[in-house]
Amino acid sequence: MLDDINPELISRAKNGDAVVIGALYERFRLSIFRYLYYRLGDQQMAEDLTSEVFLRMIRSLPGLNPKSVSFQAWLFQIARNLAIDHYRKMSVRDHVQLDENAISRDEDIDTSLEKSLTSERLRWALSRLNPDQRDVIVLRFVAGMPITQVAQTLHKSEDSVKGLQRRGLSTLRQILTE
Amino acid sequence: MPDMDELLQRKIQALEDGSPLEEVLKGMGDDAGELASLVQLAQSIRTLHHPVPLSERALADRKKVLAAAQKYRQQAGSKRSLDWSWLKEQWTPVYAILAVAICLIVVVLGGGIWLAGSRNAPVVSLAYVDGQVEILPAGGDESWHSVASDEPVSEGTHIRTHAGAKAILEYYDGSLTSIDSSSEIILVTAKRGPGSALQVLLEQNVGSTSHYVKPLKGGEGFFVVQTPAGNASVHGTVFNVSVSPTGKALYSVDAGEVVVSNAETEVTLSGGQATVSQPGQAPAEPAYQFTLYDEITATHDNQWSAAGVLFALADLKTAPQAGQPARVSGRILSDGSLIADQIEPAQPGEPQRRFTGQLKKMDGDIWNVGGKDIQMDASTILSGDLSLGSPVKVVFAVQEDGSWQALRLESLDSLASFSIPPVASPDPNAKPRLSFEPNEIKETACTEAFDLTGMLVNTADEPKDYATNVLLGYSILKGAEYVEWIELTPSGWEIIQAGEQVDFNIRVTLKPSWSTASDDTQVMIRIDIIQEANRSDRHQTDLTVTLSSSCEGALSPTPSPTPTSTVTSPPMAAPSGVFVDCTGTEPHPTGTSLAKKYSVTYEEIMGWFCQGFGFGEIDMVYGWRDDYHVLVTDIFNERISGKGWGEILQELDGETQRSEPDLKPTHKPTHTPKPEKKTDH
Repeated sequence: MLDDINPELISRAKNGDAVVIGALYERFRLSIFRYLYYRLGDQQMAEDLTSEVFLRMIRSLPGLNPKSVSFQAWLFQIARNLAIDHYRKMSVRDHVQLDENAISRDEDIDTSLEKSLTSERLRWALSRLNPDQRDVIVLRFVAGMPITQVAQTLHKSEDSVKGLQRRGLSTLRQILTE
Repeated sequence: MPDMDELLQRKIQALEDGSPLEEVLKGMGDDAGELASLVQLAQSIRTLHHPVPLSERALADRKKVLAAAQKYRQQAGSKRSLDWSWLKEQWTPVYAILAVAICLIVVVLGGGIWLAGSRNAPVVSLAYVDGQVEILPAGGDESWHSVASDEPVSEGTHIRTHAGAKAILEYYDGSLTSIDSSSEIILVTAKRGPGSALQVLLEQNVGSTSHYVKPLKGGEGFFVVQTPAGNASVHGTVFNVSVSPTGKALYSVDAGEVVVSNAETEVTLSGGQATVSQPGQAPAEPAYQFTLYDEITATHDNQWSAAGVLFALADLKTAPQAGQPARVSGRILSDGSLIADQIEPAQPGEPQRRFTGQLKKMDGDIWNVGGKDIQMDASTILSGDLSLGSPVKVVFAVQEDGSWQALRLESLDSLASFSIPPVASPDPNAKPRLSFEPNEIKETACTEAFDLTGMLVNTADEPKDYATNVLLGYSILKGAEYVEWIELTPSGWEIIQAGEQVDFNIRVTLKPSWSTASDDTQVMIRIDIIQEANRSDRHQTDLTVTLSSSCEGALSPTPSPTPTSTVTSPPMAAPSGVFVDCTGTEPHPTGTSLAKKYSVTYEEIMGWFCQGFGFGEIDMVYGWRDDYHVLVTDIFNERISGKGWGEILQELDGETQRSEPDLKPTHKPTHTPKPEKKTDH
């Protein structure tokens, strides 16, 4: 299993090898999309920003130093920055509030967690976490990133990420069962 | 609460490593209820069906990204912003240099501007510098001074790298010399000879260098590395030279041929071979190479061991430090013994063990390379055109019983024929017609990595209608979540003549989740032509590759087992000899674990295993037994009769709906059955 992208492929991508860039797109588009979906809570916006992540990736490749950060962590840093920019541009508080209301109206929240966890319900619950906890939960369990890479993505220590992971899961469980 | 954080992480890590949820929860004890619920929640999120983007949208976005990549490539080519940083990371010069060559192809194909510029480029320049690299220019009027990338260097220049530093020389024809840390060379000659033939003479007194030399033009070109112990001369190859402080030189060849000579004699090395030479002594006979990474253990009388492999030291002045991880490289002598020429501290993340040799046997699961048996299985990656007698490189792991499991087998012949093609100019009068034949491939994927062959044909009749600068791309239409990586090799051609057909390899690596996907799951890939210079409009052809998750072929066509009346009875009265034949004499740990897990006998589990069912499948079926209250024999029989697992599961779902509407599970069971056990057995 590929844990990350090897330096040879990164070098080819840096030199504009369309085949490799296409492969990187295919390799990561799904996990980037899902990260953005749960981060933003909007499928359409997540799709828009997913392609933007890869366009920024191409522009930013010359600055990538694979010695200091894994490719995957670096790519998710781009996605995270885009998501933060998006929040800044939007009226975030209103957006999230509307979003939460919509879910609350549409869904009959079941208290039996295991039986009723859906992606929609997860999205709703994640929207109530603080951003760091949400990032950790999504990167760890949706994107499937190891602790080390999550730490690189969020510019935090591994211990800090482990703490966010536990507190995030704990809060999420409370939200989902309340 | 750092302990709780760490404990939770360990439990989640166990899940990620493949341990069943129940097993992870079991080890937590009764006082860890909160933690257990968090582990369960983590697992629920991991296994949830997450949303996917619209496939049409993904296709459009991919085109947009590729268009941006092509635009970027042209800019990268015009700026000559080649990136060499990965060379530092790679131990194997073959991959490193080959990848440089690939990068050069990309730049050459994509940048006429680059070529125009290269005609006026200096004969040689320092294309990449990392760390403290110094030069002493010819003439003697200057002293050593530090240099940066892209600095031209002239004949007579001394170049030295300090500890941890690296430099790469790039010659005008694209040939390369990589200078490792703590090395020193003199650029004695660097000329553009008659007919643009490259003429290079390097003097290397200490350190290590690697060279990628393009095929030299005409008889005027030469590329020689001179050491105190002899010279290495080539005419297009990939090779490495390492000189110790005592002047002893180690020459090794990854591809092509190298002649090593001194006043005594000369030897010719081919791909995968190495020799050593001492000042005043004839070079040793060519031998194949090995490299080990592990802790070194002293055994007896100049016998050492690393990774369970015995070797002797050549003539190293200092004995290696036992117990320290090291990189041991050397030669495999004609009697099969190993002699270490270099022992260096291992760097973090260095690759697995490897050796080279002639492929002598390709039969069943045991192949033979250079007299050494290696175990092959479905996960072994095969690369290049492998044929008996050809030199190959083997990356291997040492098993508990001391046998060598081949992780990758790579032909070294294919590297020898590698060369950078000249760029072809677009011809507006050419009207090529490219077509994939066939345009559809359907395969059953039972392993996580497999290779397919595609074919592209220029169906035009007139010789003028050639295709040029052809580049393939691909998009995943369906099942992207199961795809780890796709590689097309080659992915481009300089020219495809009218009437010519070219083959390419499609390597698809799937994620482990593929092996547990239901039978109706598909991955669909479309391969198309993303560039061809002689047509402004797009070639209307593509190749669709469809992979199905059903592993029908993996099941041996054995007769159906006799159904039994209770689920606890062995499905087949399999004699113990069967177990010996299919698993060995020792009880299989997974079989033991499953028997315990489902409260059945070990013989029952192994009865199914020895009929060709995998432990994962057996686990799944017994899980269904508990979930749906059915007989495992019925399920296995349905499978043997030809039904897919997905189909069987749908039937189970349907029957449950009809008979027990209130008890229907809220989600499909996975390989990991629910903890609650059925009580009727």
